[in-house]
Amino acid sequence: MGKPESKISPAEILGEFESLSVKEQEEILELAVQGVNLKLIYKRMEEDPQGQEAVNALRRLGANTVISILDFIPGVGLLASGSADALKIKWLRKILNLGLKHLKVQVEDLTPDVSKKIAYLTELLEIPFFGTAPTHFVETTIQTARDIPRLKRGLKAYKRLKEEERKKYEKFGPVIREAKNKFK
Amino acid sequence: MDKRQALKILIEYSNILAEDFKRKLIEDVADMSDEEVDSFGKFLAKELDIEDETYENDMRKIDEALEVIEGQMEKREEIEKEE
Repeated sequence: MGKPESKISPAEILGEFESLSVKEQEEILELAVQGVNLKLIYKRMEEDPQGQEAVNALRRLGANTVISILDFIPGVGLLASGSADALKIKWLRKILNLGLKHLKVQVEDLTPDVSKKIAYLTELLEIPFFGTAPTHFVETTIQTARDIPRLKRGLKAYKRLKEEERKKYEKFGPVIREAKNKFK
Repeated sequence: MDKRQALKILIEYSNILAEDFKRKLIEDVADMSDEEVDSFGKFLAKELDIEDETYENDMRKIDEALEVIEGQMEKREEIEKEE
């Protein structure tokens, strides 16, 4: 009986890996390790209440930063910051989320800790400046200040999750070390 | 522990290989040539060394980031107190 067709040859998997320099091999492996670890921890962060809170805060920070930058461009900025303010309206978010349901995308209030009053009053500043004032910066600053404690809790959760993952690995540390030493 | 057993352990604890792929590889270890066992073992041993280094670096970066955030929070509290 011949070898099964689906047999995976290590030579195929390693491919040209061995022809690379040691430095290049390490760089590729480092990227792979970091990518896999990040994916794993991100998944666990989303399952952890404090982790999820921090992930949401980070998403908000990213979106608000982009909007604040766009806000410096006349016209585009008004549209971007106006859209962000419109997302503060609950019923509008509900309608948008119904429409986006099939895309598995959800829109959220990007500045939940900023009152509608502040958001809309800052938008009024656009009138004397003909829509060129970068007003979203105010909301971004207030929201970021409120999100800092969430980011701190999230980082602590991230550390805890990484330590938990490490403990699972270290339980078998001596066996793994012995196995590694066979190839050194 | 011989090299084939060692390779099986390294495959099992590798993070970059998918679970179903790991199972297939462990089944195939017996059919691998000595050269293949050696090159695969070196590859996975290197991966696990990098895992160790990455963990240490990540933990250091987290602690540094926590220090920065705590510093910012303290500054804010001081400003709020002064106000």
